[in-house]
This record gives sequence, C-alpha cells and structure tokens, in this order.
Amino acid sequence: MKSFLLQELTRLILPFSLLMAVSLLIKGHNLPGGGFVAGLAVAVAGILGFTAYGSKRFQERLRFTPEKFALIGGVMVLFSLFFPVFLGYPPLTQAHAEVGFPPLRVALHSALFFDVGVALCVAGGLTTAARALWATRQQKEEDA
Amino acid sequence: MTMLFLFCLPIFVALILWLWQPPLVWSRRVCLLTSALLMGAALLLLQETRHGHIEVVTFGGWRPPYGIAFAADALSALFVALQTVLLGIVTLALRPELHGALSVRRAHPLALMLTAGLIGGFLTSDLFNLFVMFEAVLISSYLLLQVPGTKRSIAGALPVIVINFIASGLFLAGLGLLYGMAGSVNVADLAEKLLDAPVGLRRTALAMLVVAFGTKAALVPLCFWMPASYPTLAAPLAALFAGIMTKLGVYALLRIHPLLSMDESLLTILVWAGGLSALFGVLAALSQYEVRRLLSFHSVSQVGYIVAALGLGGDLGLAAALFFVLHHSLVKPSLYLVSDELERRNATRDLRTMDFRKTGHGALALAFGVAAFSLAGLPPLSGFFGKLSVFRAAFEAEAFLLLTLLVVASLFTLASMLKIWRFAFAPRPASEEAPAPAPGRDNRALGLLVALILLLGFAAGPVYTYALQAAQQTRDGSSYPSAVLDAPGMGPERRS
Repeated sequence: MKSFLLQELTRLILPFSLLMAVSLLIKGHNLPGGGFVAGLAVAVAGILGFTAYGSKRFQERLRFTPEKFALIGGVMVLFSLFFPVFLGYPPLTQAHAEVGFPPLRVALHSALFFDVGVALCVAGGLTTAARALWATRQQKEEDA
Repeated sequence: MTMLFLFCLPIFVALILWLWQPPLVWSRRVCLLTSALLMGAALLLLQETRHGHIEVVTFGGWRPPYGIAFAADALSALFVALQTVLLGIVTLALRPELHGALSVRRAHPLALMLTAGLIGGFLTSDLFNLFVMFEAVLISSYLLLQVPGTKRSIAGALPVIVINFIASGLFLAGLGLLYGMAGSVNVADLAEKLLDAPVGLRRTALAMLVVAFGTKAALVPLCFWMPASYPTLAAPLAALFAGIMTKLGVYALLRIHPLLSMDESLLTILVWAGGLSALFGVLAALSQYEVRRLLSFHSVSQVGYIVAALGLGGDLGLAAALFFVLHHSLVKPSLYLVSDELERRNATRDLRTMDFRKTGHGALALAFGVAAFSLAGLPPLSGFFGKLSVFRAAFEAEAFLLLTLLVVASLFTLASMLKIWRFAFAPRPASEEAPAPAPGRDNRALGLLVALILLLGFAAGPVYTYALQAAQQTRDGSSYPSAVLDAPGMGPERRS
C-alpha cells in the first residue's frame, strides 16, 4: 500500500510524535507521563513509518532494527536495576543532582535513565510486533 | 539478591536469545544452563526461607506500602523451585527433530519470559505487581500458543485471550476497589487495613479477585479456555502450561488467603467451585477420546481438589493444597510427555485408532503406569498422599458432602486413566496384520519426572511436614506482614 497522502502526513507527524515522546518522558517524573507512555508515542511514530513507507524502505532509513532498540532498552533497565546493588544500595535506588550554573541549572534524576530504557523497550517491542504483522500481510499480497 | 537473580536472569537470557538467534544446539544449551542456574538459586532460596525466615528486597529503598517489595517465604520458595525444575525438564523434552526446529527456536525465549513472569508473580508482595506479572505470563503464553502457527492454534488461542482478558479486567477492577478502600495494594498491608473496611465493599473487591484467580486456575464454570488451547501446543509446552501456569492462580489464592479468611462466604464459594470442578473435570475427561483433551480436562479436576482444600482453610487444608500442587505439577507434565510419545508412535491423536502393538511395552508403559496410578491416587505414589491429605482436611472440617464428591471424582480418575491404558497399551484382539512397533527413543525428561514422582511418593512425610510449616506461615497473619512492612528502607515507621 503506497499512499501519497499517508506518506506526506507521516512526514509531518513523525517529528511531532517524537517530540511529544521526549516531552512525556521528561515531565513524567512529576506529572502524568513517563517511560511507558513515551515509548507508546515513539511506537506510534514507528508503526506509522512502517505503514506509510513499507517495511523495507523505512528500515533502511532507521538503520537499527526495532528489536535492537528493545534490547538496548532492556539492558538499560536491567543495568539501572543492578547498578545500585553493586554499590550496596537496594535495587533501583535513585540519585538526583542539579547540574550546571545558575542560569542553566537542570535537576537531573538517575531514574531518567531507567525511563529511557523502558521507553526504548516499549517502542522497540511494539514496532517489532507491528512490523511482523505488516510483513505477513505483504507476503500474502505478493503470494496472491 | 537471590530473588533478583531468579527474576532477572531469565529475562536477560531471553533477550539475548531473541536477538542473537543462535544455532539451535546453542539455544538449547543456553536454556538448559539457565535453568540449571535458576534451580541452584531456587535451592538457595529454599534453604534461606527454611526456618520461617522471610527474605525481603525493597525496590528503590522504599519500604512498602510506599515501595514495592519482593518477599520470599516458604510458600513462594516452593513455587519458584517447582517452576525452575519444570523449565529444565521442558527444555530437555523440547526436541527440534520432533517438534520442529522453528517451533523450538521460538519456544526457548518465550519459555524463559514465561518463567520470569511466573517467578516474579511468586515473589512479589504487591498485588498490582502481581497483576503485571500475570500479564507477562499471559503475553508469553499467547505467543507460545501461536508457535505452531496453524489455523487450529489460532482458533485455540482466541478463547484463551478473550477469557483471560476479561479476568484481567476483573482483577484490575478489584484492585481499584481495594486501593480505594485501604489506600494500598500490598498484601501485607491489606491484611491489616482491610480488617476495619466496610464488609460489603470488601466482599465485592475480594470476590472480583477470586473470580479472576479462579479463571486463571481454570475452575468450573470458567475453565473452558484451557481444554481448547492445550491440545494445539507442542506437548512439552502443554506440560509446562498444565504443570505450572494454572498454579499461578492457585498461588495467588493462597497468598491472599489471609484476606479471604476475613470473609467465610468467599471460602465457601471456593470449596464448592473446587468440588464441582473436581467432579465435572473428570466426567468431561472420561468422555474424551483425544489423549491431550482428556488430560487437559483432567487438569480442571485436579485443580478442583487443590482449590477445595484451599477453601476448607486451616493448616491442614492449606498444607493439603500445597502438597497437591507439588504432586500435580510433576504428574501432569509427565502424562503430557507420555501422550506426546503415544501420538508419535501411533501417528494419531485419537485413542480409538491407537494400537498396543505400535505403542509397544517397556519403559513408556512403565512411565505411564507410575504417572497414571499416581494421578489416580494409588499408594505408595505421590497422588495417594496428596488425596489423603485433602480428604483428611475435608474430614476434619466435617465437610462430608465434599468428601463424597471428591472420593467419587477420584474413582472416575482411575477409570479415565484405565481408559487410556485400555486403548493405547492393553492387548486387544485385532484382525489385521501386526504392525511393527515404533522405535523407542531415550526420553530423559520423562525419566526424570517419573523419578521425581517416585521420590515425592517416598519422601511424602518430610515434604508434607514442610508443606504444613509453609501453610502455618501463610495463615499466620503476622509474620509475613511484619517482615514486609518492617523491611529496612525509607518511609515512615509503621504504627503498631
């Protein structure tokens, strides 16, 4: 299925979807949002991309396969689970610090690392599933 | 630390296997090594929790009810150990040359994810976390059901997905009610906070949980998803499902038993749902001619015994339920492995077209004999002690109607096992030429399971004592909560 309209719309929506994901990820610590929801937003972008451009063409642009995203996310989550344990704290213990000079001070939180991992995991997993579904359908169309 | 290892190792290995896609030999070796490591860790956990000690890990250093904690008491450790053993046996039994290279390759990471979900479910002390683990288990099981990729497997998976989806919804709704009432979803915390909750609301919320767990445990009348799905799975995976997946529902019921015992009516419902399942399951099994369908209806019946004993409550009831779980989780997988071998040798699933000359005699007949008679409850096999302890609990609770029901169901169990024996193993007058017996093959997984069944039969005394201790610890409403709520960590001190 190659639709000009869908491809152009995807081109418009994709960056905003990713931007939305970043915003959800960052504000998720104090407000509704967080890694899981951000992952869903990224997955929307990924699924839209695969649908509009077909799995082969989008994959070429993406460089990494979505499975790799999921794996990197999984490793990040496991790392943030175990890193505090090696330092002698309970698993998933968080640390926070304020970084930078007064005009540009940012409060950073180690849970952000975990959240990014979750987001990558969710986005990668969902996109993989969608791509697999899409691939079977394309296979059927080719067979027919 | 042991708990973290038990939970994270299978996830990590599953991720690696998923991406690396190693040659099948290596995938199998990695899986076997993982299950060996997990078994070791589970033994360590059993050792740590042996004398009533409760291991607690809090996440992020926040003490429950603010944070989430994994807590292992004797009950959790027992279920975890059971799962790790079954994982090893199932990996051993999954053979690429029999079950298809692609199926086995896909099954390895999924079985590991299933294991992680189950172990997490057995260890967590937080009900919402338990819900997440249930979902992890269910997603892995949906995917495992799709491994054969046939029309039949998709048709079989549909009822599983729909029914479990509804059950999960009920679970979540019940949790919402509990949270609204008590402001907590930690089992340990709820045990204290629910005491002075409004009775009607508490009953509604707990009843929702009971229905959800009952569905996952496949109790009458919510059991029909199970016989629909199991026959399409590769037999060793069906063994894994039958052996332990329904037990997650049973475990959850055991874990919230202190909450349920605030409300006698819920326990009564469990007793009768269990009793009726025991009878209905075995009657349905008797009417089947496909070995695996017969066995899966049997699971309904056996889970019925477990839940009936659980509903009777008391130390005896819970200990009986625990012992029966152990017994059933070993016997049912071994019967599935036997059925796999039967189907392969006879090249048919239907009992009526099986031929004793193709089945052959020898090791397979012996393995079937041990497993079947254990299931039927003949001494000195594990099933005898399992049933004896359930009957004793029923007798002590003066539930004579239930006792009658269970004894009748037990007789039918024997009849259904004899049915398999008669069609598949026993000599019958036949007119045709004698077909050559199919070649046997070494089946180490089945051998191991049979050895474990025999061991459980001969070591019934010590195991029952252990189950009794675990039951006392589970029922005692203070040791688990105080271990979990007084765990070292941040958060206000508990008012006492």
